[in-house]
Amino acid sequence: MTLIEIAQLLENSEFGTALRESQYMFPIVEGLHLLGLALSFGLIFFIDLRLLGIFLPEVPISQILQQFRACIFGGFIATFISGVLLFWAEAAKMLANSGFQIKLLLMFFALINALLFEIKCVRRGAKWLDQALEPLDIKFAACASLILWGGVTIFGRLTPYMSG
Amino acid sequence: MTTHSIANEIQDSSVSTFLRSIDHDFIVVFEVLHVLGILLLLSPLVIINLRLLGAGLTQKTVGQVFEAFLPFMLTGLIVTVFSGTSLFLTFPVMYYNNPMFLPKIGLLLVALALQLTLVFTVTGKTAPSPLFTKSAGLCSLTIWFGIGLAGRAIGFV
Repeated sequence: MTLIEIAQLLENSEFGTALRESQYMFPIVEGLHLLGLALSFGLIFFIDLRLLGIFLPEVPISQILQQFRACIFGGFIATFISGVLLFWAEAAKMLANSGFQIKLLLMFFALINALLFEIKCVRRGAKWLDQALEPLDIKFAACASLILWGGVTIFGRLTPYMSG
Repeated sequence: MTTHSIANEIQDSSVSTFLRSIDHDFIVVFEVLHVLGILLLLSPLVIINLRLLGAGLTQKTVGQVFEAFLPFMLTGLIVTVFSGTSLFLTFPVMYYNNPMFLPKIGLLLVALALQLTLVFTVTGKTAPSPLFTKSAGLCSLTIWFGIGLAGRAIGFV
């Protein structure tokens, strides 16, 4: 069974069809997808600016990371679950959409970047994170995060306007 | 003159006609800007309202948090209103007839008024009551998220 066949099965399933045709559920899930983004990418944007040393430099990096961790994860869960539901309703159409394909690719790299940041930087502890001059590793991860998540958001919004 | 005929007048205006005449790709740019502006406005609001609830940037006062995020919120608001107005001007009658459009604009005005009153009340007091700040924070977050939901629904109802 090919990927596109699985996508067609999902899209044609009772749940996928009901969601796609629902007058209220589909817009609500779309709305939740956007609001989840305000918590996930929105907060990451400001944390990235802090990691670059250009915003709230007086707040230690270790503290700001810890203070918003739960919120960002909550936002991600909301964005992810609503995203999966939206995909379910239009799986085959989405898979064939070049905007969606670019978005998925950027998202993959953004997640790898976040994972590497966690392993290479956060695990080194508060003392290393809170140096007077932000280490280059941190600045690189922040730049990559801004570009990749920004791209994910832009291509996400472009998806309905890009066919094929 | 009814509001409906005003929407018709706007639709026939030169700005509106011009926006309809340009390439559709430019209109899509406004859609993207609208989302980016919303994120730039909504995320600081989440942070400020979290601070009102006693979470997040606790090493700073509500006033300091508000001040630090103000330039971002203003930029976000300007980008959102500019792109939103441009989108509205492309098809004013269609938006006016959309059941979610007027509730969204109404909520937006309420939220702006509430947020400004709230922030000035809280930052103006040296020791605002915790119950007041917390309930106000929760209330305004709910309204802002309501606007987001109503706004997104415009495209589907």
